[in-house]
Amino acid sequence: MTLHEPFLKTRNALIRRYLPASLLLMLAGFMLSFLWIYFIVLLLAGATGITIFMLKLQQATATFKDNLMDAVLQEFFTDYSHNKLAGISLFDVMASELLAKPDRFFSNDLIQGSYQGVGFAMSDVTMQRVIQTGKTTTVQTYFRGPVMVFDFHKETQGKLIVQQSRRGQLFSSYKAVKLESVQFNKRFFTYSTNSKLAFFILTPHFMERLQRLEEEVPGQFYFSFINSKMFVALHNNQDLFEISMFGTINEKVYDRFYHEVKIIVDLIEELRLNPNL
Amino acid sequence: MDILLYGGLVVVVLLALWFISTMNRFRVLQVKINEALSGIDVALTKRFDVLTKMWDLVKKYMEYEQSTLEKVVKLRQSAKATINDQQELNNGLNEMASQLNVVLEQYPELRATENMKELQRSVRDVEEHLQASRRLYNANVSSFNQAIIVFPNSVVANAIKATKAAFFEADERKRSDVTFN
Repeated sequence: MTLHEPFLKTRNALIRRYLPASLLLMLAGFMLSFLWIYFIVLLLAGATGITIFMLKLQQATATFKDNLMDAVLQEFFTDYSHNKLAGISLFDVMASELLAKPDRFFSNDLIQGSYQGVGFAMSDVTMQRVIQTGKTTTVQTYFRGPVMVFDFHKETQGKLIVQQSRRGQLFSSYKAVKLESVQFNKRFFTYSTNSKLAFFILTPHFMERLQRLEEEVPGQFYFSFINSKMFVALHNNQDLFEISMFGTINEKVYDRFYHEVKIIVDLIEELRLNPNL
Repeated sequence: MDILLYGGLVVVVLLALWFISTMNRFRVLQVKINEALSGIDVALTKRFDVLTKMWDLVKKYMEYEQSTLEKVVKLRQSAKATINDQQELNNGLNEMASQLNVVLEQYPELRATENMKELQRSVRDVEEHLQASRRLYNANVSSFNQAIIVFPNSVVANAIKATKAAFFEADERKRSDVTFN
C-alpha cells in the first residue's frame, strides 16, 4: 500500500462522518431561523462539527506529511532530522549576505543532516518587503524558495558571492570579479572581498558544474562562500513540502517531495562538496 | 573666433582628462598584475617549503637525485619578482614533485605514514592556491593586454610605452605529474 492511501481513507472517513451531519444541522438551523433559539443551537452544533472536522483533517494531513518526509529523507540520508515548524533563522539567512533584510520573514520545514560527510541544513523561506505609499500598503515577495547551508571544505579567507542577478555594490566591501570563462561571466555575477578567493573556489570544473546546475534546476540561484560554509538560495517561487488538505493526493505528491529534497543531494554531488573527493 | 578658441580649449581639456584617466587605468591594471604576481610568489614559496620538507623525509630513498633539490634551492635563492623567474622556479618544483611522486609510488609504506599523508594534503592545498594565483595573474594580464591594444587606448599605451605583459604559462605535462595518489 502506498503512503497516500491511508491518508485518503482517513480523509474520506472524516468527510463522511462530519460533513453531511454538520451541514444538515446548519441547514436545519437556517430553515428554523424564525425560532431563533433553534437557529442558534443548530448553527452552533453544525459549526462545531465543521471545526472538529477541520482540526482532525489538519492533524491527519500533518501526520501524512511527516510520514512522507520520513520516507523521502530515508531514501537519501541515514543521518537527518526534520522539523516542520522550525526553519533556518533570519540571522543565518542574513549571514549568507545574499538577500536584503526583509520586513516579513517566514521559514519552516527545517531539514538537517549529513550526506557523504557533508553537513547541511535546508528550509523553506519566504521574504517580503512592505511598501507604504500614502494610505496603501503593498506586500512584495522578493524571495520564495529553499535556503541551504553546506559545510565547505576549502578554507575561505574572505567572502565570495556568485549570483544570477547584478548586485548593488555601493559602500560594499565586495568587488566585482571577472573570471576567465566568458560563458560563466554571462550567466553569473561574481563578487568577492578578495579576488584570489574567487579563483581559488571557482576552479574551471566548479564553474562548469555551477553552469550545469543553472541549466538543470529552474529558478534563480544565489551562492555565497563565507567562513567555510556554502550558502545557497534558490528563488523558485515555490512553497516546499506543502500538502493541500482538500487537493488531489496521489503518487505525484511523493515524487514532488522527492525532487524537492533531491536538490540537496544534487548540490553535494554535482559540486563535489565531499572533502574526500 | 572666441567660440573656436573656447571650443578648442574644451576639446584639449577633455582630451587631457581622457589621457590621464586612461593612463591611470593602465597603472591600476599594472598594480593588479604585480599584486597577483606576488600572490604567485607566496604560493611558490609555500610549495617550495612543503616539497623540501617532503624531500627531507624521503631523501634516503633517492640518493642519486640530490641535484634536483640543489637546482631548485638555487632557483629559489636567485628568483626575483619577475614572471620568467617564477615560471622557472615553478618548473623546477614540478620536476622535484615528479621525482617525489615516483619514490612514493615505489614505497607505498612510506606514503602511508601520517606525516607523509599530512604533507601530501599540504601539497594539494598549495597546488590549489598556486593555480588560483596563476589564474588571477593571467586574468589580470589578459585585461591589461586587451586594454592597451584597443584604439584609442593604444595611443596612450604607446605614449607611456606600455607593453603587453607576459602570461604565466603552466607546464601542463609536468603539472599533471604532481598529482599524488
